[in-house]
Amino acid sequence: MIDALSADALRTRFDSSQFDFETTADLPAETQVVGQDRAVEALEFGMTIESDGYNVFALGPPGTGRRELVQHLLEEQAADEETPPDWCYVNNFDEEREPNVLKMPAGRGQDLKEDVDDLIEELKTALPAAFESEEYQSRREMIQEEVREDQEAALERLQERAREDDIALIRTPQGFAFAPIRDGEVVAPEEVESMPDEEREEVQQQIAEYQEELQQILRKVPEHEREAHERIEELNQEIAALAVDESINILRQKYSNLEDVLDFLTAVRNDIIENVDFFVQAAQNGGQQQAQQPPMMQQQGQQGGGQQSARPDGAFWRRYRVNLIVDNGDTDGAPVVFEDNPNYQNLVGQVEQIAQMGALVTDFNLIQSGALHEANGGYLIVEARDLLTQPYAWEGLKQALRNDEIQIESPGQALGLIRTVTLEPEAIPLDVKLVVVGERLLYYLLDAYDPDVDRLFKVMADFDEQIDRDEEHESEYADLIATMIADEDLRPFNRSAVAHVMERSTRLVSDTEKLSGRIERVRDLVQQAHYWAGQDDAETVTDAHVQQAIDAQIRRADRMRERVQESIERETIYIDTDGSAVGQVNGLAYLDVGGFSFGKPNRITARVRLGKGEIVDIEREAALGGPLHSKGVLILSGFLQGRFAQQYPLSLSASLVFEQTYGGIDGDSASSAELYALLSALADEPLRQDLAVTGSVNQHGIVQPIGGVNEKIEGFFDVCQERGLTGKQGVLIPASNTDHLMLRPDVVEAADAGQFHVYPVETIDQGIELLTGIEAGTRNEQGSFPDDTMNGKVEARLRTFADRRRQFALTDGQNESAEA
Amino acid sequence: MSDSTIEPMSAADGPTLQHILVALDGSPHSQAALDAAVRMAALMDAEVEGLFVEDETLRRAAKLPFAKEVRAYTAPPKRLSDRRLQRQLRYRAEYAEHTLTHTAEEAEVRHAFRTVEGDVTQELLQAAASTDLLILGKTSTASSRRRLGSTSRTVLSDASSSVMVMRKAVPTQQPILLYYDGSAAADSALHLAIQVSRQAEGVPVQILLPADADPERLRDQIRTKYGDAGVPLHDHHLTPAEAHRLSVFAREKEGLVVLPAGCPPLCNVSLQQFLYEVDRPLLVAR
Repeated sequence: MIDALSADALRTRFDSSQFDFETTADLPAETQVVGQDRAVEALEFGMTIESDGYNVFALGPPGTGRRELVQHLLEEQAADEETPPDWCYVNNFDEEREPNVLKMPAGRGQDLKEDVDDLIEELKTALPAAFESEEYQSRREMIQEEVREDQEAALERLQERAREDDIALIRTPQGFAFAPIRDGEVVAPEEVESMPDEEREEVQQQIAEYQEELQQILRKVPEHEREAHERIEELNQEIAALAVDESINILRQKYSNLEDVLDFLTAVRNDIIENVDFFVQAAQNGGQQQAQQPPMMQQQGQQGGGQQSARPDGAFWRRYRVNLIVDNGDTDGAPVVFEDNPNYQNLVGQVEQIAQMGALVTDFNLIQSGALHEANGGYLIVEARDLLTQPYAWEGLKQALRNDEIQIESPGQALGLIRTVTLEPEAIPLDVKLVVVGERLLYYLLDAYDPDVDRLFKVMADFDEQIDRDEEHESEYADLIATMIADEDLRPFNRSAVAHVMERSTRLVSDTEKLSGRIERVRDLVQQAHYWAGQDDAETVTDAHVQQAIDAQIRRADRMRERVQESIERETIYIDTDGSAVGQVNGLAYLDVGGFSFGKPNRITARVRLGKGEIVDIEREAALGGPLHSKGVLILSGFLQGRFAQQYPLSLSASLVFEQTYGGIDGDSASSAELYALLSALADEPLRQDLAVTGSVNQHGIVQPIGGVNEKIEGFFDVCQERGLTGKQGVLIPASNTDHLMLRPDVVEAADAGQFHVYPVETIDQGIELLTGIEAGTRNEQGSFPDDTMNGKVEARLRTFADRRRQFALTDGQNESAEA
Repeated sequence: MSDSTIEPMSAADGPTLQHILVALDGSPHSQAALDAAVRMAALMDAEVEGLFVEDETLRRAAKLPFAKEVRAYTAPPKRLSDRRLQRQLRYRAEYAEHTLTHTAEEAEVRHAFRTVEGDVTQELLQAAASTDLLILGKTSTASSRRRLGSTSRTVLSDASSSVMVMRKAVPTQQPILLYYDGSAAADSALHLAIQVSRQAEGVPVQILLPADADPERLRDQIRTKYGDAGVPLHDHHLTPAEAHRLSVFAREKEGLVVLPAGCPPLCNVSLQQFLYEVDRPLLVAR
């Protein structure tokens, strides 16, 4: 009969004396990651390789601190890299719908923006002043005068000549008329009447000629006006150039090494001169109508001829401004951007619109940058789940990566669904390393369904939820805890507290050889222990505080477990913790509710009778059992046939059931318990009810490891403790689960006191001996089990069944009624 | 007016502006003249009378059997009939009267309007005899500022009253520029300028003293006559160079220019040229 495990084996203790620090305050607190070598190597590879498509998909379970770690590593790497340029959008004066992009050395974008704003401020006063100046006004009038002068001189000459012929040029309300005069007076009509015909004809003839000449003079008026207009245009441009050139030239010198900026400044100059009519009109109106118009977008301003009379206002000047969308002036090294709301617009940028008089209008000043702009030349981090739940965000991001450029379009536009009047800004070349952080499942699904994933994410950084436990990792882990404490400015932890946190970490992965990679949960524990220490007014956090935090965590989550325990206690759910019974055993189930898991004892019963060799799994028949459970039960048949029914047919019919379960059940961890119940029923020997059993079994009767061993043991322990420990109670676990034991301190204490036992079982025979107190028995030389062993009794029963069955078949059931 | 010894002198001495005659013909210049007249009348509490002259010459020309009108923008000459001309003139007169009424009533100024028939210049000269101030536009057409119409020229030189010509209205706050040579007309001009200034809340009056005169004597003369007139008076003794280019000096500001009739600037330089160069409302005082 095997022995129970010693108390030491039930919980792996971290020896706090192995730490060479007193409290975490003594530690450097510089550790961001422990273990995860594979992921870190992959990330470093992905960061440094230059080729296209080497973006990184960092996958792993949530809570492993993937994102923070990625960000930390990227920031370290980026700090030594070159700072990328600034990007600005400026007006494209030739095609306003397609704003131009300007690339500037980092920090100079802001300079240019400010310089251009200053220039605008300067020109706002300088240009109108130039056109209001006396010089301009007089030159302008001079031109108009000269033209009119010619005309009036011509009229005067005509008038003079006519006067010599005694004909006067008279102004009428709407024009001119000629009339013959005598002695300075227009001749009276009667006098004309009395003239000889010949003379009158002559006068009329003369007048007709003068009229003809006058008409010719008047006909030239529009021509003269046009000429004047052209000369005034020239003057306007000359004056504007004078006002603008000096300021622009200063800027041209300042940016003389930036070709694009020079082109832009030239375009601004030419556009101001082209649009000089705005200022002329304003000056002509004496600036009286200033600012009476609502701010107009320039696109409208271009079309609406009606506003020409207004002084150029803010809206007009917008066309010359610089929209600095990426300012790397304050960036050290390359940027690392984490976009926590990766929707389409936040990634790719957008062209905003404003409502004006009921219409949506926009211009290049309303172009907003996205995370891709911000991260251009550096690194962008996004969470896969966030990215995939935002409509079109994934597509938009892929498109940008594929094309190596950022093209700002609205999603509707990108899909070709909406065509509103908007802008098509020039695309910006994209050079970014993208790191998508997400769960493994998302990566595998994307990989399976989206052919682009292979091309765009050539590096996979796989984060592990478990970290190998060795000395180096342990000390790193301690420093990781110290880092958490330092980051959040918590109370220092003493050695024992650190050790206790690490014990908890081990328990979280249910493996004494590992530490938990889910540092989020460790962080939670650290924060909560800090809180409890605070409640205690303790300066340092001790292991008691850590345990208090763990207890409180469990307490907060264990309503369900408590109800189950209560039902058992009140015998609503039947679980025996003493005595013995035939065909009945305490199995152990493992439940996980919202991240909190616990074990629950469950009564398993078996009945046997003569039959055709099938074992009925009632769970399966009732569709409550899962496939793994059914598989476990089928293995039992294999075991029985293999061990006992080599020479004769297996002629039993058995039924197995998990009593009092009302939901589904799955997993094969109860298969050994079922087998014990079956063997007990066959041998008609009672099983101890003060023991509970877990472990799966194979066809050879070897007990195999299962999950949740700690929770299962604690589940049975809690029931026994509630009823009072008898000193005999205990749990049978697969021997191979011994390494996973990380039991609660109170369980360990009870075991230490001999009040509770954990038996590591390797085979079914070992288990049945413990449960029945009867030797299992092995086949002797004759090939049969001794009669007083369990196996012997089982075999005898099975043989009886087989005999009866044969007899039954021979007599066609005649004797059956008597026997049954 | 702060000094009581001055008051009887200035009130009794110069003519008080009680009646302003404005020549109306519907042109932009005459509109400016009307505005100026109404504004002046409001300041001085004077009456404005609008005068519309139906051009006799034109009437006679229209009666000729072969009279035709050449218009500025329509090509073939049109028959000019007496009836049509009459209708046009009547319409113009009505328009002028309406404008006068509207403008004057808005400024709460007493006003009258009459239409006469005859030669424009002659009628204006005649009307000027019975008024304190005649205001008219530089030309009757929408012409440039350079040319002074023949009517204005004649009226400026021959009218018996003070005459003011202008192309556009100017704000009243602009300083008044005055040429003072000590003549009787100059006294009258100064008197008028001071009246205007006083009513317009003390706009400065800048007095130019001729280069060839003794400035002290003229200053004494001004002081004796007007003493502390209660308005800011500044004098400036013109240098010989400035005297020749008075126009340059006068061009700096925009306000009213007041000249005494027959003063050297009007005689030496051609009046027309001078008026072209200043482009400010010009008042020739008598």
